[in-house]
Amino acid sequence: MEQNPVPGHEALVPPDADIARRYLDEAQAVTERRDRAVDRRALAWLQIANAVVIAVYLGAFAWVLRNAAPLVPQVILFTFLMWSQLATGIAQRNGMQMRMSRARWPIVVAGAAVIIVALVLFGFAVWDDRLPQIVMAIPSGLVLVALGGYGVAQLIRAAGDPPPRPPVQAPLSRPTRWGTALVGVAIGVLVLLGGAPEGVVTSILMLLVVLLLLAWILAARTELGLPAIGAVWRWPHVLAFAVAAAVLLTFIGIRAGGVGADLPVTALAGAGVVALLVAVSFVRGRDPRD
Amino acid sequence: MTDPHPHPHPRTRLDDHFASPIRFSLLASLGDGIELDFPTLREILQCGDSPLSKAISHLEAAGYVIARKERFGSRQRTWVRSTRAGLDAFAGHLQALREIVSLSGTQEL
Repeated sequence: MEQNPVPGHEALVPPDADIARRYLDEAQAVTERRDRAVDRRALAWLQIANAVVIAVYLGAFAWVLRNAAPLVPQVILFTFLMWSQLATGIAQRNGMQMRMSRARWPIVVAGAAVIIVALVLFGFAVWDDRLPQIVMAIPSGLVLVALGGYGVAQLIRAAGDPPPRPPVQAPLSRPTRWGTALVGVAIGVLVLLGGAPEGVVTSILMLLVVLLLLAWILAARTELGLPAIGAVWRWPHVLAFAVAAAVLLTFIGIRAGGVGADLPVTALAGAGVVALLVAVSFVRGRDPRD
Repeated sequence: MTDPHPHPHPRTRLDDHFASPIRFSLLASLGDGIELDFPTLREILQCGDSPLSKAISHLEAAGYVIARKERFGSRQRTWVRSTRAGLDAFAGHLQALREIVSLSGTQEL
Protein backbone atom coordinates (compact mmCIF):
# COMPACT_ATOMS: atom_id res chain seq x y z
CA MET A 1 0.00 0.00 0.00
CA GLU A 2 1.51 3.32 -1.10
CA GLN A 3 0.67 6.94 -0.64
CA ASN A 4 -1.74 8.82 -2.87
CA PRO A 5 0.24 9.27 -6.11
CA VAL A 6 -0.33 11.84 -8.81
CA PRO A 7 -2.58 10.07 -11.38
CA GLY A 8 -0.50 8.54 -14.16
CA HIS A 9 2.70 8.60 -12.11
CA GLU A 10 4.46 6.14 -9.86
CA ALA A 11 4.24 6.82 -6.14
CA LEU A 12 7.22 8.86 -5.02
CA VAL A 13 9.69 7.74 -2.39
CA PRO A 14 8.26 8.90 0.94
CA PRO A 15 10.34 11.47 2.84
CA ASP A 16 12.48 10.35 5.73
CA ALA A 17 11.99 11.91 9.16
CA ASP A 18 14.50 14.67 8.54
CA ILE A 19 12.86 15.76 5.28
CA ALA A 20 9.41 15.47 6.88
CA ARG A 21 10.54 17.75 9.70
CA ARG A 22 11.83 20.29 7.17
CA TYR A 23 8.49 20.25 5.35
CA LEU A 24 6.68 20.88 8.64
CA ASP A 25 9.03 23.76 9.45
CA GLU A 26 8.42 25.19 5.98
CA ALA A 27 4.64 25.03 6.50
CA GLN A 28 5.07 27.11 9.65
CA ALA A 29 7.46 29.52 7.92
CA VAL A 30 5.02 29.99 5.01
CA THR A 31 2.21 30.89 7.43
CA GLU A 32 4.46 33.45 9.11
CA ARG A 33 5.51 34.93 5.76
CA ARG A 34 1.85 35.17 4.74
CA ASP A 35 0.95 37.01 7.96
CA ARG A 36 3.79 39.45 7.28
CA ALA A 37 2.85 39.91 3.62
CA VAL A 38 -0.86 40.63 4.14
CA ASP A 39 -2.28 43.09 6.60
CA ARG A 40 -5.13 41.26 8.30
CA ARG A 41 -5.57 44.10 10.78
CA ALA A 42 -6.30 46.51 7.92
CA LEU A 43 -8.93 44.10 6.57
CA ALA A 44 -10.51 43.88 10.02
CA TRP A 45 -10.59 47.68 10.35
CA LEU A 46 -12.15 47.93 6.90
CA GLN A 47 -14.84 45.47 8.01
CA ILE A 48 -15.52 47.66 11.07
CA ALA A 49 -15.58 50.81 8.90
CA ASN A 50 -18.02 49.15 6.51
CA ALA A 51 -20.26 48.21 9.44
CA VAL A 52 -20.29 51.85 10.60
CA VAL A 53 -21.00 53.11 7.05
CA ILE A 54 -23.87 50.64 6.55
CA ALA A 55 -25.32 51.52 9.96
CA VAL A 56 -25.15 55.25 9.24
CA TYR A 57 -26.69 54.87 5.79
CA LEU A 58 -29.43 52.58 7.09
CA GLY A 59 -30.30 55.20 9.73
CA ALA A 60 -30.23 57.98 7.14
CA PHE A 61 -32.38 55.91 4.78
CA ALA A 62 -34.97 55.31 7.48
CA TRP A 63 -34.96 59.00 8.35
CA VAL A 64 -35.53 60.29 4.80
CA LEU A 65 -38.03 57.58 3.87
CA ARG A 66 -40.10 58.30 6.97
CA ASN A 67 -40.02 61.98 6.20
CA ALA A 68 -40.99 61.23 2.59
CA ALA A 69 -38.33 63.34 0.92
CA PRO A 70 -38.60 62.60 -2.83
CA LEU A 71 -35.56 61.07 -4.53
CA VAL A 72 -33.31 61.70 -1.56
CA PRO A 73 -33.07 57.93 -0.88
CA GLN A 74 -31.52 57.52 -4.34
CA VAL A 75 -28.87 60.10 -3.47
CA ILE A 76 -28.04 58.18 -0.30
CA LEU A 77 -27.96 54.91 -2.21
CA PHE A 78 -25.68 56.43 -4.84
CA THR A 79 -23.18 57.62 -2.21
CA PHE A 80 -23.34 54.25 -0.48
CA LEU A 81 -22.67 52.40 -3.75
CA MET A 82 -19.76 54.73 -4.38
CA TRP A 83 -18.25 53.82 -1.00
CA SER A 84 -18.85 50.10 -1.51
CA GLN A 85 -16.91 50.25 -4.80
CA LEU A 86 -14.07 52.18 -3.20
CA ALA A 87 -14.04 49.71 -0.29
CA THR A 88 -13.72 46.82 -2.77
CA GLY A 89 -10.48 48.35 -4.00
CA ILE A 90 -9.25 49.02 -0.48
CA ALA A 91 -9.94 45.37 0.46
CA GLN A 92 -8.23 43.92 -2.60
CA ARG A 93 -5.02 45.93 -2.39
CA ASN A 94 -3.78 43.79 0.51
CA GLY A 95 -3.55 40.77 -1.74
CA MET A 96 -5.84 38.78 0.52
CA GLN A 97 -9.59 38.38 0.76
CA MET A 98 -11.67 36.34 3.12
CA ARG A 99 -14.12 34.01 1.38
CA MET A 100 -17.02 32.18 2.92
CA SER A 101 -16.26 28.53 3.54
CA ARG A 102 -18.19 25.60 4.94
CA ALA A 103 -16.53 26.04 8.32
CA ARG A 104 -17.91 29.57 8.53
CA TRP A 105 -21.55 28.76 7.79
CA PRO A 106 -22.70 29.24 11.42
CA ILE A 107 -21.35 32.82 11.24
CA VAL A 108 -23.09 33.34 7.88
CA VAL A 109 -26.42 32.00 9.20
CA ALA A 110 -26.20 34.10 12.39
CA GLY A 111 -25.26 37.21 10.40
CA ALA A 112 -28.06 36.64 7.88
CA ALA A 113 -30.58 36.20 10.71
CA VAL A 114 -29.54 39.50 12.31
CA ILE A 115 -29.68 41.31 8.94
CA ILE A 116 -33.18 39.92 8.23
CA VAL A 117 -34.41 41.05 11.67
CA ALA A 118 -32.81 44.46 11.04
CA LEU A 119 -34.56 44.78 7.64
CA VAL A 120 -37.96 43.80 9.09
CA LEU A 121 -37.52 46.37 11.86
CA PHE A 122 -36.39 48.87 9.21
CA GLY A 123 -39.67 48.33 7.36
CA PHE A 124 -41.72 48.84 10.51
CA ALA A 125 -39.67 51.92 11.49
CA VAL A 126 -40.18 53.54 8.08
CA TRP A 127 -43.82 52.82 7.35
CA ASP A 128 -45.45 52.70 10.77
CA ASP A 129 -45.72 56.30 11.94
CA ARG A 130 -47.08 55.21 15.32
CA LEU A 131 -43.69 53.83 16.33
CA PRO A 132 -41.34 56.28 18.08
CA GLN A 133 -38.44 57.73 16.08
CA ILE A 134 -35.93 55.82 18.21
CA VAL A 135 -37.04 52.57 16.52
CA MET A 136 -35.23 53.81 13.39
CA ALA A 137 -31.96 53.43 15.24
CA ILE A 138 -32.50 49.74 16.07
CA PRO A 139 -31.72 48.33 12.56
CA SER A 140 -28.55 50.43 12.46
CA GLY A 141 -27.56 49.16 15.89
CA LEU A 142 -28.15 45.53 14.90
CA VAL A 143 -26.09 45.88 11.71
CA LEU A 144 -23.34 47.63 13.64
CA VAL A 145 -23.21 44.83 16.22
CA ALA A 146 -23.38 41.97 13.67
CA LEU A 147 -20.97 43.25 11.00
CA GLY A 148 -18.82 45.32 13.35
CA GLY A 149 -18.62 42.40 15.78
CA TYR A 150 -17.31 40.18 13.00
CA GLY A 151 -14.68 42.83 12.28
CA VAL A 152 -13.70 42.97 15.95
CA ALA A 153 -13.39 39.16 15.98
CA GLN A 154 -11.10 39.37 12.93
CA LEU A 155 -9.07 42.07 14.66
CA ILE A 156 -8.62 39.86 17.73
CA ARG A 157 -7.62 36.93 15.51
CA ALA A 158 -4.98 39.11 13.85
CA ALA A 159 -3.66 40.45 17.18
CA GLY A 160 -0.57 38.25 17.05
CA ASP A 161 0.35 39.16 13.48
CA PRO A 162 3.66 40.92 12.95
CA PRO A 163 3.39 44.69 12.39
CA PRO A 164 2.58 45.48 8.75
CA ARG A 165 5.11 47.11 6.51
CA PRO A 166 4.35 50.79 5.94
CA PRO A 167 2.82 51.21 2.48
CA VAL A 168 5.09 52.54 -0.24
CA GLN A 169 3.79 55.99 -1.12
CA ALA A 170 3.59 57.44 -4.60
CA PRO A 171 1.79 60.33 -6.27
CA LEU A 172 -1.61 59.36 -7.66
CA SER A 173 -1.52 58.55 -11.35
CA ARG A 174 -3.25 60.98 -13.68
CA PRO A 175 -6.40 58.79 -14.17
CA THR A 176 -6.65 58.15 -10.43
CA ARG A 177 -6.25 61.86 -9.71
CA TRP A 178 -9.02 62.65 -12.18
CA GLY A 179 -11.14 59.89 -10.65
CA THR A 180 -10.64 61.32 -7.16
CA ALA A 181 -11.61 64.77 -8.38
CA LEU A 182 -14.68 63.27 -10.10
CA VAL A 183 -15.77 61.71 -6.81
CA GLY A 184 -15.64 65.24 -5.38
CA VAL A 185 -17.58 66.65 -8.32
CA ALA A 186 -20.27 63.97 -7.99
CA ILE A 187 -20.80 64.54 -4.27
CA GLY A 188 -20.41 68.31 -4.64
CA VAL A 189 -23.16 68.49 -7.28
CA LEU A 190 -25.47 66.43 -5.10
CA VAL A 191 -24.78 68.78 -2.18
CA LEU A 192 -25.45 71.78 -4.43
CA LEU A 193 -28.79 70.36 -5.56
CA GLY A 194 -29.82 69.94 -1.94
CA GLY A 195 -30.68 73.65 -1.97
CA ALA A 196 -32.33 73.74 -5.39
CA PRO A 197 -36.09 74.12 -5.79
CA GLU A 198 -38.12 70.90 -5.53
CA GLY A 199 -39.09 70.47 -9.20
CA VAL A 200 -35.59 71.03 -10.50
CA VAL A 201 -34.16 68.75 -7.84
CA THR A 202 -36.48 65.93 -8.81
CA SER A 203 -35.57 65.87 -12.48
CA ILE A 204 -31.88 66.79 -12.30
CA LEU A 205 -31.11 64.44 -9.41
CA MET A 206 -32.64 61.51 -11.21
CA LEU A 207 -30.72 62.29 -14.39
CA LEU A 208 -27.44 62.81 -12.53
CA VAL A 209 -27.76 59.67 -10.46
CA VAL A 210 -28.44 57.54 -13.53
CA LEU A 211 -25.70 59.18 -15.62
CA LEU A 212 -23.06 59.01 -12.90
CA LEU A 213 -23.82 55.40 -12.10
CA LEU A 214 -23.70 54.54 -15.79
CA ALA A 215 -20.40 56.37 -16.23
CA TRP A 216 -18.79 54.58 -13.32
CA ILE A 217 -20.06 51.18 -14.38
CA LEU A 218 -18.46 51.81 -17.78
CA ALA A 219 -15.26 53.03 -16.11
CA ALA A 220 -15.07 50.20 -13.59
CA ARG A 221 -12.49 48.33 -15.68
CA THR A 222 -10.22 51.31 -16.12
CA GLU A 223 -7.92 53.26 -13.83
CA LEU A 224 -10.82 55.70 -13.47
CA GLY A 225 -12.95 52.98 -11.89
CA LEU A 226 -13.79 53.33 -8.22
CA PRO A 227 -12.10 50.05 -7.10
CA ALA A 228 -8.85 51.15 -8.76
CA ILE A 229 -9.14 54.55 -7.07
CA GLY A 230 -9.87 52.99 -3.65
CA ALA A 231 -6.85 50.71 -4.03
CA VAL A 232 -4.41 53.62 -4.04
CA TRP A 233 -6.14 55.87 -1.54
CA ARG A 234 -4.53 56.41 1.85
CA TRP A 235 -6.16 57.78 4.98
CA PRO A 236 -6.19 61.46 3.86
CA HIS A 237 -8.24 60.52 0.79
CA VAL A 238 -10.62 58.32 2.80
CA LEU A 239 -11.00 61.07 5.39
CA ALA A 240 -11.80 63.62 2.66
CA PHE A 241 -14.44 61.26 1.24
CA ALA A 242 -15.92 60.78 4.73
CA VAL A 243 -16.11 64.56 5.24
CA ALA A 244 -17.75 65.00 1.81
CA ALA A 245 -20.29 62.25 2.52
CA ALA A 246 -20.99 63.75 5.96
CA VAL A 247 -21.67 67.17 4.39
CA LEU A 248 -24.04 65.54 1.88
CA LEU A 249 -25.85 63.60 4.60
CA THR A 250 -26.17 66.73 6.72
CA PHE A 251 -27.87 68.68 3.92
CA ILE A 252 -30.08 65.68 3.10
CA GLY A 253 -31.05 65.40 6.76
CA ILE A 254 -31.85 69.10 6.95
CA ARG A 255 -33.96 68.90 3.80
CA ALA A 256 -35.76 65.78 4.95
CA GLY A 257 -36.45 67.56 8.24
CA GLY A 258 -38.36 70.17 6.27
CA VAL A 259 -36.00 73.07 6.95
CA GLY A 260 -34.10 73.26 3.65
CA ALA A 261 -30.90 75.17 3.06
CA ASP A 262 -30.65 78.10 0.64
CA LEU A 263 -29.08 77.55 -2.76
CA PRO A 264 -26.08 79.85 -2.07
CA VAL A 265 -25.29 77.85 1.06
CA THR A 266 -25.44 74.48 -0.69
CA ALA A 267 -23.52 75.89 -3.66
CA LEU A 268 -20.75 77.01 -1.32
CA ALA A 269 -20.74 73.66 0.49
CA GLY A 270 -20.72 71.80 -2.84
CA ALA A 271 -17.81 73.87 -4.09
CA GLY A 272 -16.01 73.17 -0.83
CA VAL A 273 -16.48 69.42 -1.31
CA VAL A 274 -15.13 69.62 -4.87
CA ALA A 275 -12.15 71.70 -3.70
CA LEU A 276 -11.44 69.24 -0.87
CA LEU A 277 -11.34 66.19 -3.15
CA VAL A 278 -9.34 68.05 -5.83
CA ALA A 279 -6.83 69.14 -3.17
CA VAL A 280 -6.52 65.66 -1.70
CA SER A 281 -5.96 64.19 -5.18
CA PHE A 282 -2.51 65.80 -4.98
CA VAL A 283 -1.70 64.00 -1.72
CA ARG A 284 0.52 60.95 -2.21
CA GLY A 285 -1.33 57.65 -2.28
CA ARG A 286 -0.21 54.02 -2.06
CA ASP A 287 2.04 52.66 -4.72
CA PRO A 288 -0.19 50.27 -6.72
CA ARG A 289 0.87 46.62 -6.55
CA ASP A 290 2.34 44.97 -9.62
CA MET B 1 -12.07 -10.97 8.73
CA THR B 2 -9.56 -8.75 10.45
CA ASP B 3 -7.85 -5.77 8.86
CA PRO B 4 -4.31 -6.81 7.83
CA HIS B 5 -3.14 -3.20 8.48
CA PRO B 6 -4.85 -1.93 11.64
CA HIS B 7 -2.23 0.83 11.94
CA PRO B 8 -1.11 1.67 8.39
CA HIS B 9 2.20 3.45 8.02
CA PRO B 10 1.76 7.25 7.86
CA ARG B 11 3.29 7.29 4.35
CA THR B 12 0.01 5.77 3.10
CA ARG B 13 -1.65 9.09 3.87
CA LEU B 14 0.96 11.16 2.05
CA ASP B 15 -0.29 12.95 -1.03
CA ASP B 16 2.20 13.19 -3.91
CA HIS B 17 0.49 16.34 -5.16
CA PHE B 18 2.36 18.06 -2.31
CA ALA B 19 5.72 16.45 -3.07
CA SER B 20 6.82 19.59 -4.90
CA PRO B 21 7.96 22.28 -2.43
CA ILE B 22 6.04 25.02 -4.26
CA ARG B 23 2.80 23.05 -4.32
CA PHE B 24 3.30 22.20 -0.65
CA SER B 25 3.92 25.84 0.29
CA LEU B 26 1.02 27.00 -1.86
CA LEU B 27 -1.47 24.94 0.13
CA ALA B 28 0.27 25.88 3.38
CA SER B 29 -0.36 29.56 2.62
CA LEU B 30 -4.06 29.08 1.80
CA GLY B 31 -5.89 28.56 5.05
CA ASP B 32 -9.62 28.07 5.41
CA GLY B 33 -11.48 30.85 3.55
CA ILE B 34 -8.29 32.71 2.63
CA GLU B 35 -7.92 33.87 -0.95
CA LEU B 36 -4.57 35.28 -2.08
CA ASP B 37 -3.66 37.07 -5.27
CA PHE B 38 -0.83 36.01 -7.56
CA PRO B 39 1.75 38.69 -6.56
CA THR B 40 1.17 37.99 -2.87
CA LEU B 41 1.59 34.25 -3.41
CA ARG B 42 4.79 34.90 -5.38
CA GLU B 43 6.10 36.98 -2.48
CA ILE B 44 5.15 34.41 0.18
CA LEU B 45 6.46 31.44 -1.78
CA GLN B 46 9.54 33.33 -2.94
CA CYS B 47 9.38 31.90 -6.43
CA GLY B 48 9.02 33.04 -10.02
CA ASP B 49 5.87 33.47 -12.09
CA SER B 50 6.31 30.32 -14.17
CA PRO B 51 6.78 27.77 -11.34
CA LEU B 52 3.91 29.35 -9.44
CA SER B 53 1.61 29.22 -12.47
CA LYS B 54 2.49 25.55 -13.00
CA ALA B 55 1.84 24.74 -9.34
CA ILE B 56 -1.53 26.48 -9.44
CA SER B 57 -2.51 24.68 -12.65
CA HIS B 58 -1.45 21.32 -11.21
CA LEU B 59 -3.40 21.77 -7.98
CA GLU B 60 -6.38 23.17 -9.86
CA ALA B 61 -6.45 20.04 -12.05
CA ALA B 62 -6.33 17.93 -8.88
CA GLY B 63 -9.33 19.86 -7.53
CA TYR B 64 -7.33 21.24 -4.61
CA VAL B 65 -7.43 24.95 -5.47
CA ILE B 66 -9.64 27.30 -7.42
CA ALA B 67 -8.09 30.11 -9.45
CA ARG B 68 -10.20 32.95 -10.77
CA LYS B 69 -9.31 36.01 -12.77
CA GLU B 70 -10.73 39.39 -11.89
CA ARG B 71 -10.25 42.67 -13.67
CA PHE B 72 -8.96 45.38 -11.37
CA GLY B 73 -8.62 48.74 -13.02
CA SER B 74 -6.89 48.12 -16.32
CA ARG B 75 -5.16 44.97 -15.06
CA GLN B 76 -6.30 41.42 -14.58
CA ARG B 77 -5.57 39.74 -11.29
CA THR B 78 -5.54 36.05 -10.46
CA TRP B 79 -6.96 35.03 -7.09
CA VAL B 80 -6.35 31.56 -5.66
CA ARG B 81 -8.13 29.78 -2.83
CA SER B 82 -8.17 26.20 -1.60
CA THR B 83 -11.11 23.85 -1.95
CA ARG B 84 -12.48 21.67 0.86
CA ALA B 85 -10.80 18.65 -0.81
CA GLY B 86 -7.50 20.55 -0.93
CA LEU B 87 -7.68 21.54 2.72
CA ASP B 88 -8.55 18.00 3.81
CA ALA B 89 -5.80 16.45 1.66
CA PHE B 90 -3.23 18.91 2.96
CA ALA B 91 -4.29 18.36 6.58
CA GLY B 92 -3.89 14.59 6.04
CA HIS B 93 -0.50 15.12 4.43
CA LEU B 94 0.73 17.29 7.32
CA GLN B 95 -0.54 14.72 9.83
CA ALA B 96 1.34 11.96 7.97
CA LEU B 97 4.54 14.06 8.05
CA ARG B 98 4.14 14.61 11.81
CA GLU B 99 3.68 10.88 12.34
CA ILE B 100 6.75 10.07 10.25
CA VAL B 101 8.76 12.44 12.45
CA SER B 102 7.38 11.03 15.69
CA LEU B 103 7.78 7.45 14.43
CA SER B 104 11.48 8.03 13.81
CA GLY B 105 11.84 9.38 17.36
CA THR B 106 10.24 6.22 18.75
CA GLN B 107 12.46 3.99 16.63
CA GLU B 108 15.58 5.86 17.73
CA LEU B 109 14.70 5.04 21.34
